[in-house]
Amino acid sequence: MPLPSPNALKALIQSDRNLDGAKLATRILLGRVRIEVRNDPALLDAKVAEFLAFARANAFAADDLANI
Amino acid sequence: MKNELLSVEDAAARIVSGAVMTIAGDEALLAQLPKGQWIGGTSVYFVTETGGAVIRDRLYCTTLPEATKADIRVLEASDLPRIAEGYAPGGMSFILIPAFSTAHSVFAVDGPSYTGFFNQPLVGWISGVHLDDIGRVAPKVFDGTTGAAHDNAAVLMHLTLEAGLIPQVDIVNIFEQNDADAPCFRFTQSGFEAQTALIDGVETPLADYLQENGIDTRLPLIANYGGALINVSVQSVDAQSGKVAFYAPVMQNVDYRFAKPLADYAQAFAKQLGAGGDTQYSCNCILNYLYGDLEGKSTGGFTGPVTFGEIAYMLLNQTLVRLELQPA
Repeated sequence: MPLPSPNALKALIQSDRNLDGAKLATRILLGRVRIEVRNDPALLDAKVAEFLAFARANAFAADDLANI
Repeated sequence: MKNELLSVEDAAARIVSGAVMTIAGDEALLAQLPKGQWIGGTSVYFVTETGGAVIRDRLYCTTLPEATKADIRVLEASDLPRIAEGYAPGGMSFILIPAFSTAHSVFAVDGPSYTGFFNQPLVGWISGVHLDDIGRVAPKVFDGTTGAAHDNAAVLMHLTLEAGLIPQVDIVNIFEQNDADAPCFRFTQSGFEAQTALIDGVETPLADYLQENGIDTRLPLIANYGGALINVSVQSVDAQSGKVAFYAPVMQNVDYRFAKPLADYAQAFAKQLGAGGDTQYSCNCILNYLYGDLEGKSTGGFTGPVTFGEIAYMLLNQTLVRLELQPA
């Protein structure tokens, strides 16, 4: 499963969009990353990298993020 | 996966046969079990097929023939950041933590930031005691490999699963967040208590606000994590000190809104859960049991311990956690 682009992940993190069909881990991690970036916008690139690493390690997360 | 209420003798026989199990029950019963591949936590409240009940003469046992290997670890609060080190490839992990312990509070606040934490399903609950025993008896967790009970450490069971099985964990939250025009609560610090909150952006004494506005504190505060609704329940409101205590930590700079009221608690569960719970692992919150007056009321086919907090990756309140092992 191809991974989403960093720009697509940035847009997702900075939006209020819900991932209603995604696995619980993906939804919770997205929620946490959004909070961290809201608290410190300078973390955005690091959090995108963290999210990509999570998707690389978990096929279900790559599936969840395939169509964002 | 098989869920059963068993006598001590039957549970012991199952353990001796080599089964991998998670067990919930009264401390006096758990203490009688032989050593083996099991973990346990104290609870006397259960949801059974016929409804909620206090059970002290049997143990709620989940047997996991799908597990090909079980590694059991006991982690004190300072070692909790090492949770993911025990994850088996393609597997899943159970975690039980005693209520009111340092491990409980540390896990609740810091858990989701641990390295690799989300890389496989982590499911479990906070062990408790009969409500009449709070403050007199400490909740415990048991490491079946030694038979030892712990009141200030987490016990984990990392499972390797048969090939072709995928663990699916999800939550059932019968509550909905209030509408977007309802007051929004933010907190300036993460923690189990708060004296003030930013309510619609204005710093406000929280206890005063809850009392003056007649807020029903049986309803949880809800945050939206990317579409997952995460509850935090109010434990107490102390008008004198101005402190509001919570059963799970409120998190800094997260937007919370109170839940909409429910017409019928038990029916809300039955409606959302549907059928098929007999082959799933589940646990439900003591606050649902109490506020929903669930004793004797059926909530559908999902049975299991009633707990002092549920864990689906993070600590949850007023939520049912469910785990299913699905074919790939």
